[in-house]
Amino acid sequence: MIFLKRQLPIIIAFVAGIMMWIRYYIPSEVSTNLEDGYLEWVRIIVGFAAILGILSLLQHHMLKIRMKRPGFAFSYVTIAAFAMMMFAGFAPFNFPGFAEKNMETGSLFNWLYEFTFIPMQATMFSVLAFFIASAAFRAFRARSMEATLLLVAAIIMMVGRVPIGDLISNATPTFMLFGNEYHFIDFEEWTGWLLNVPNAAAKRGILLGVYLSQIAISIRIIFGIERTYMGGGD
Amino acid sequence: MDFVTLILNLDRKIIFGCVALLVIWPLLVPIQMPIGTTPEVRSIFAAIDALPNGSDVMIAADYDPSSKPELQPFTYSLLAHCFEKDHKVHILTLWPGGPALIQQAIEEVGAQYGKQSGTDYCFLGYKPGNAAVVGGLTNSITGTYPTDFYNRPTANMPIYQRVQRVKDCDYIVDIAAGATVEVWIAFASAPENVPMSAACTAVSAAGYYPYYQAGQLDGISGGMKGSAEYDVLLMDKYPNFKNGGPRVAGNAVKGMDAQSAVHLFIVLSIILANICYFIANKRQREERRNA
Repeated sequence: MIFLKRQLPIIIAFVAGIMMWIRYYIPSEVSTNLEDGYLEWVRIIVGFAAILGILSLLQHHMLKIRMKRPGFAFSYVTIAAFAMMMFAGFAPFNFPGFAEKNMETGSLFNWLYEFTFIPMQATMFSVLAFFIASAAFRAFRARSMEATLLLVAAIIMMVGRVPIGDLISNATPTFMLFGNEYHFIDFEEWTGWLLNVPNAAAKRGILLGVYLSQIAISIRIIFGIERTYMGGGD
Repeated sequence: MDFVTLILNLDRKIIFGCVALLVIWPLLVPIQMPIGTTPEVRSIFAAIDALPNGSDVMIAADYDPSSKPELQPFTYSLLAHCFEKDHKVHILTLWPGGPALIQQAIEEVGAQYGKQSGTDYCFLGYKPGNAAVVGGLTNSITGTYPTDFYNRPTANMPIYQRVQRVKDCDYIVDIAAGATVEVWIAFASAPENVPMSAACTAVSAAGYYPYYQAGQLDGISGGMKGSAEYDVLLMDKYPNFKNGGPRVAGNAVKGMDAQSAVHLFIVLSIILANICYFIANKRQREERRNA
């Protein structure tokens, strides 16, 4: 049992990791076929993970209903919505009033998606605008130098990335410098500079750090040093 | 209660009400502010426009309804632009909530141009596995997607008699709400040497500038503003989009008035709140000094 739980996953990770690594540097028909097979396996495993996710979701909500935990009534809604969408998607017949079956345009599934799923998800996301406006009004204060810099950058970005920014910029007087004409306020220029200079510099540093860490963690997994992905502590 | 105290203790319901009003009002009574275009979006438009007619464009629409207002207009405009140029479109999604949105877009735009599924475009649908799917596409499109979204075998489709893998495509565009742009760059665009652009949500656009500067992305379209810019470029270059012709572009342009109004409101309210905050602080200091 210890072999299946400990050694076997390490061996699989080592063989698969080394194989894919070498394949990258030796492109040939054999290595391409090998990669094809490997990627197909990954897609199959991910498919099973989706099933596992569905089972986990159902188990969680059924347990909540059984234990009558706070808000358990919403679990009925989740399970009912899940069952309804699944039935609408898989049923091999046309529902009354719908010209198509399964996921075709004009099917019940498509109707449910368009008139329930899309508006509900869009609503959830749209509500953010209200909370962001309220939070910015209450908490966005120039309390320190860093906060002031953030505040100024945020204001430039917010105005500069909408058409009203162009209107304001074009309404300001211009001046000549080295033969070029500039506006006193030029939101497009300022937002471009913010995105291309400080933002890109910071992001590049973060990305380099992230990818170097990914390489390090991949090597640790391939050589069996990092084992937390197996669920254990060591 | 004086003005400063009133502002600092303003009920958030008033702010919610103002935001709601500023979103609804411009949608009912459009102001139609002129929309300027940025170099990042002009680059995407120029790249698609410069492809010879009938080129193959792979579009990954990796988003779901939560990002629909920001990204769906871009999908519509990009599809219209591709079909205007008679490009062959290979469209897919790595997001499970995305297929029905793409289905709407591709069927609507395709019908307006009289394009045939399997010949002029192919909607490959959704497959889980992000990098595994993109990696698979670099070896074989029909092998990774043996059937399209409508369960029709892809191997026999006319569109796949010429195109076998991502390398055979002339351009890639990832319309992404998440972190799939990196996946497409790392596993498809860079190793296969296929030029690529990205359209993403406004909040994630800043994160892709290193790739844009490195030339790994030809252009970036950020949020609804980017979609509106693409609409403007499309309408300027192809006047039939403005009136009478295929009316598929312009959805993002309509939203820009509302977005401008709300952004301006937030900026003004932040400035006002900060002024009041400093006045209140000054008063407190003076009171302490006097006491």
